Amino acid sequence: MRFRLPHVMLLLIGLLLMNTVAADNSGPIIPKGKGEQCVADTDFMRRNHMDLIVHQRDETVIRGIRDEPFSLAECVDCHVQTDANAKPIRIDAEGQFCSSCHTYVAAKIDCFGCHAAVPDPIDDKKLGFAPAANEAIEAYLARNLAENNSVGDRSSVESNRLAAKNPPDLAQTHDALRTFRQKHVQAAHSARTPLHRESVLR
Amino acid sequence: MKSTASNSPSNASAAARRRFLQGLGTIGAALVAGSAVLPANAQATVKEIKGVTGKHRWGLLIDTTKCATGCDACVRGCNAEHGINSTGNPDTDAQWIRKIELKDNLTGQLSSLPMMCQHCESAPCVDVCPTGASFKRADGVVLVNKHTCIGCRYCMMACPYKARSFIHEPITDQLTRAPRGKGTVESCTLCVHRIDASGSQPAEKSAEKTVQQPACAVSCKEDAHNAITFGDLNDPDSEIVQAIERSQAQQVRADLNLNTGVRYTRL
Amino acid sequence: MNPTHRFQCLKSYQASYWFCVVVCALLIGLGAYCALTMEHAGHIVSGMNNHVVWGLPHVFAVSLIVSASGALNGATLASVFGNPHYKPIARLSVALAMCLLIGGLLVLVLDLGRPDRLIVAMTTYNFRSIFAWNIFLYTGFLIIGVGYLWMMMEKRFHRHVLTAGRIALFWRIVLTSGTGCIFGFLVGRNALDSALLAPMFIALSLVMGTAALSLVLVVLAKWQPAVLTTALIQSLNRVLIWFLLALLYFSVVHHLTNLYVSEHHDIERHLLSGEHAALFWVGHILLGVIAPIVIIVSRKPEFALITRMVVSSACALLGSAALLYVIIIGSQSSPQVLFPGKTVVQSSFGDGGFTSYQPSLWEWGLGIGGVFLALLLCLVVLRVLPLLPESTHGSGLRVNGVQSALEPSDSTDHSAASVAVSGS
Ligand code: HEC
Ligand code: HEC
Ligand code: HEC
Repeated sequence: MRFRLPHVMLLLIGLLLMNTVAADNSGPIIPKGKGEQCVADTDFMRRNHMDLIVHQRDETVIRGIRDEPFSLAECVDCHVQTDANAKPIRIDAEGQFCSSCHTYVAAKIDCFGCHAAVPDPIDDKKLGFAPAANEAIEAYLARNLAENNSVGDRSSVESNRLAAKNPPDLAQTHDALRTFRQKHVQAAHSARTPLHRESVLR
Repeated sequence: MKSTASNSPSNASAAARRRFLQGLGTIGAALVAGSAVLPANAQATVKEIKGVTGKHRWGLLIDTTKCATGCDACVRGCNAEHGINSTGNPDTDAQWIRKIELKDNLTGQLSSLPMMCQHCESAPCVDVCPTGASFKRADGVVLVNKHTCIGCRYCMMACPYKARSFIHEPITDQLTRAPRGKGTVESCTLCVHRIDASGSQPAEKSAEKTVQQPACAVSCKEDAHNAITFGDLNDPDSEIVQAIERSQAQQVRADLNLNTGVRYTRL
Repeated sequence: MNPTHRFQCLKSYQASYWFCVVVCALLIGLGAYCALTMEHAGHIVSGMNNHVVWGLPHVFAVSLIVSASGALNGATLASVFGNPHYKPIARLSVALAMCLLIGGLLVLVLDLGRPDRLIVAMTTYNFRSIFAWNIFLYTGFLIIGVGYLWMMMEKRFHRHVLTAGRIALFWRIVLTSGTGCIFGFLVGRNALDSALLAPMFIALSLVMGTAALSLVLVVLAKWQPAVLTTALIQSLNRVLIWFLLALLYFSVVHHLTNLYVSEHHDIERHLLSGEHAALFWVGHILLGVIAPIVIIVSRKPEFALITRMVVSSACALLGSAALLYVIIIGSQSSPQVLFPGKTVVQSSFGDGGFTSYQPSLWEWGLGIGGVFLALLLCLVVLRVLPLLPESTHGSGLRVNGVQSALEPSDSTDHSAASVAVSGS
């Protein structure tokens, strides 16, 4: 059913070409993930991510194991891109991470017909952020992102690499803020603070 | 060495190991000395057991005397938790949990209760599913594995409680914790994502204290009705088992002998 | 088996043949369009909902599958029961059965929520599921059908025809029972929870299969008159009556036992006097059983034998489909009793009430497409394989006369068969 090896080879050759001949547009343009590295060796991920997540999904659904690294939700979290307004773009949208290579190798996945293709919106109100602080964060992000536009609109792998080598302060700040807010989401979900009630009864 | 054993999870395999080690101790000092290495290994294997086991069987108790007529807090809680939005047609919408108002034919007494997947021990939906997508987790939660569900809807034909919903339309804006999509069948999951989120807790602690409650139970509590109790049916000391015994709670359609995981008081 | 029977492909190049092919193709195209629409938009465009989860496509699919196993009857009568009138159409009977089955399965598959996951259905099995057994029964039926045809078509294998016929007979009984069991063991559905459904489905399959075979024969006789002899028509009509009576018997017993079980009363009332009453009484009883019997036994000379066969078969086919509709839809639209002794005052899911179901045009299209796919397959197969008796002048009586004289070996086979069966 699958002709994985040839595809991967093609892909790798494509990547190689792109790396050596930066101007060549013959390969997929893969947006860069957040953080330093992937949940496993990058090359290993390129080849084996399908088996990893499919294995993970059975572990989770059938055996209830949720603390393993290859969760689809995690992939989305790290690999999703944001547009100029700091809004996340669907990870399966054209040119986005999960469709970049797949379009190239004509693979089709249906995962995001069910799975959220963007991280859950962070509804700060129910997290109990002070509205003022919240607005400040939003404004800061929007301003910087619009200026730099470096997260959403990447035109080539070359710029990816550059971005990876010299991450602008902005990206770091963005990540830090994001992690901070995410921690609060998790805390709110697990503690089921009374604040949650508003969202339930909303 | 002894202290290591008593620290380990008090489950069957740990007990067996303890017996085994005691046996070893009686054999001789030389062996005891050798077994100093063993418990470390054994400890490791016990800890390696991951994922849900049959140690717990999760269930719900619905106290119909506390369930308020016209209140649908549990339904709203469930819908918010799983990102279920109504399209306005109750016959094709997903309804993981629904409220039913009843009148006794003899006494005329009104009662109210929520109906959802009853998480049967011998679940008809699991028996009939051709691909095995409809399955019962080791801890008794009946689920649909939406990755292998082909949407044949035989489980819906088989369910005596009409507890399952087929997704008739494409869905957008799902929540990360609740993937849902057109063409598959779904039903109450007993909020497994919450159960599992607390699954890494040490096993000694009483189950109810550490395991997160399902969204319906939380909402019911927040509305000050407290009609839904969640807990471990396998634990004779748990609140739910005690309450079931006290109130003589019943199963819906007990005649079918399905040994449901959801029980009702004063049915 | 019989030297006097020579077979050939369908040779007709008459306009009527091509007309049939084009009509079939058009309707298949329509069906494909409907299936695509349903797959794309979801089942929301069908009339189905979370009460009536199996709708009109299932009625079509079950009708086709059940007819398939019944259509095999022609071959069984010829090779297992040694009936000479059926020998010329034995091959056709097997081919038709396989085509009908494929048509039915296709409708079933296209009505899945995720037809794209068919590969999952074929690679992962839950062996406790009757549905999964049925997948084996269906594939087995096709394989046995191919083997059976092969035995009949290869001269050197003729001596195995009887064995193949017996296996096929056994298999089709199991298959139809299996189809009945899909519905028969649903504890939650009061109207269905009955072991009687299995024998009833067998009777249903005999009626529908015989009727379908008769109609196909009439059409084929236009191009190849040798397929239909007077004796064959008479025999087909006769067996149809018996099958109809058997069906009526099981249908009556089924409803009587349901009436006897008091918890099923409401549902019985719904089935026999509610929304589906007209379909049951007019469709199944009047059109489906009484009309065909009356038409066949009436000796009015103004109706030609063949006309009587066409009308009675069409009536029986439609009436049986109506019965299936009542069984499948009726059982789902009636409420499931969850709380005996209590009345449901209110429920967001309409518990305690009857659901109405209106099949949408997409469903009709899908079902009809399946029927005509089966027919087109048959038309094509008949063109490429020599399955029809060779056209000779003056077919009918000659075949009869010659046949009985030439059959001694087969009738001994037949007695051997009954010994074997009673011995096992
Ligand atoms: C912690 C954040 C993080 C998570 C979680 C994560 N990734 Fe990554 N991933 C990255 C980073 C960063 C890179 C780029 C590494 C590099 O360039 O060497 C990457 C690279 C990749 C690549 C190779 C892309 C390329 O440029 O060729 C693939 C494929 C990939 N990830 C798939 C996944 C999948 C599938 C998951 C979910 C199981 C996942 N990742 C989860 C951060 C993450
Ligand atoms: C029909 C809907 C549907 C489709 C399509 C689907 N999933 Fe899922 N998936 C689910 C559900 C439901 C869960 C269970 C979530 C839970 O229990 O919290 C799940 C869980 C998972 C998990 C574990 C949870 C997580 O986020 O890590 C993984 C991994 C996963 N799916 C991978 C996939 C992949 C890969 C595909 C595509 C090949 C896919 N799924 C397609 C519905 C779907
Ligand atoms: C580095 C390029 C690359 C990236 C980025 C990538 N994939 Fe893949 N993926 C592939 C290749 C190549 C295949 C193999 C295609 C085949 O077998 O035909 C594949 C196959 C898959 C398959 C199996 C498809 C099937 O039908 O067997 C799944 C599931 C999958 N990828 C999920 C993902 C997800 C989810 C993401 C985003 C987190 C992702 N992939 C990102 C290259 C990539």
